[in-house]
Amino acid sequence: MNIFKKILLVCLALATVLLDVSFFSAFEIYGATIISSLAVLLTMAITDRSRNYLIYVFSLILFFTIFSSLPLLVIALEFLALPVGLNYVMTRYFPRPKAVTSPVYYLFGNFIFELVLLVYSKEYNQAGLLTLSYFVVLNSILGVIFYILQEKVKNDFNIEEIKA
Amino acid sequence: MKKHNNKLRIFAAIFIILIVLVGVFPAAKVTARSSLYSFTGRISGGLFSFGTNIRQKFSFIGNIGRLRSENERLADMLNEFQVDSSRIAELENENKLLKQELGFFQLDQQEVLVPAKIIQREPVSFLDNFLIDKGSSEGIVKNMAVISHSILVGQIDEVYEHSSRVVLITSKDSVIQAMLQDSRAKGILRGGLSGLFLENIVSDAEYKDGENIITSGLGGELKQGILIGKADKAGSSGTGLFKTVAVEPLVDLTKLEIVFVQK
Repeated sequence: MNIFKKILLVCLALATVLLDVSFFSAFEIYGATIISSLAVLLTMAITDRSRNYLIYVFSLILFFTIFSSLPLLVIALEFLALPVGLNYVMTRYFPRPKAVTSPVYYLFGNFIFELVLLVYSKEYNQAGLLTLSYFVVLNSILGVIFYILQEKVKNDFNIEEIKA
Repeated sequence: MKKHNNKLRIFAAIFIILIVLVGVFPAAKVTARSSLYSFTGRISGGLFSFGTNIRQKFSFIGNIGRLRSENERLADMLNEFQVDSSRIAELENENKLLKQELGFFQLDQQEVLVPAKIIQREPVSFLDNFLIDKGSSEGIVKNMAVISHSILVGQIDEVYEHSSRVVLITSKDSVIQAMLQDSRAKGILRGGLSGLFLENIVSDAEYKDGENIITSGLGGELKQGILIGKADKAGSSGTGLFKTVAVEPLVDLTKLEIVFVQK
């Protein structure tokens, strides 16, 4: 992976975080918002068999530490432990996801993400559960869209073919 | 492969150092936030307005059916408010005259409102706060009241050079000294996902449904008398010595775009 790709991943992290704190934060449904950076992160975690996505992970942690009021420990749990754990389990025990099976990974990833926030905020009530369900559904749909898009881009723009 | 891993390690090490610096040392975090906000503030401000416009257009389509009844209800409310406002004007005059008679003069403190645009919101659920485009260079300081349509919506929590972070009254981290306007019973206003509640109200306090909730001025952080919302008896509860009053906010906090900081 060359330096330009690394810089591109850092810029992508900044762009998605900026989208989350501005554009997507305007759309709130029962306390749940869209987190595009999480959708991109989960897509990378379930498709990347190398460890290149870690650059995006560290960039996200840095930008979320700056932009969000969440403590560093929660950010590290959400944006480091969750994708790395998911990537480890997936590459070891599960086959590469397809468009049909990918929703399972997104539902699981988003559920764990929001559950950690629920525990952190101690909102164990009906409203908290409603937010959790809306968040999981909304962000899983976005995740699947990202997954299909990246598969399409990968198939349509074959790097080896371009080089040849 | 080994070379590639080494490069990745160096990259990761740089990021870990930066993350620890920003996450552990508050001064480094403030500097990083301040510089990034000044760099990204315009972009995120524009994106936030764009997102709000799209949402408003979609919500308008969804609410067409409700508009007629809403319009009638608002027309009735307007009539009531006109009556109230003329009564308040009379009372103000009477109050002024009585003060003069009693020799009780108070210098009118000029209230300064600083208009501010919302440029960012907290991306994750359960945390209600946002960033405005006014900071210490505009005279903003911590704990100032943030209002919209003369109704309290939050309080300044963190101040940077050209931006400030506002904690909304609905945030679980928000604690505001408030009281019921007519019964004068004082309590603590707390937010959360399940709603807004005025807690620690003495159990023998009587109040009406729809009674105004205002800031009590206790603690000295906020001025007394800023309107917050109205009491909702249906959602209220009480056990033992204290009761909890459910509060209905008068402003839709998810639709805020411009707010005013009360100096």
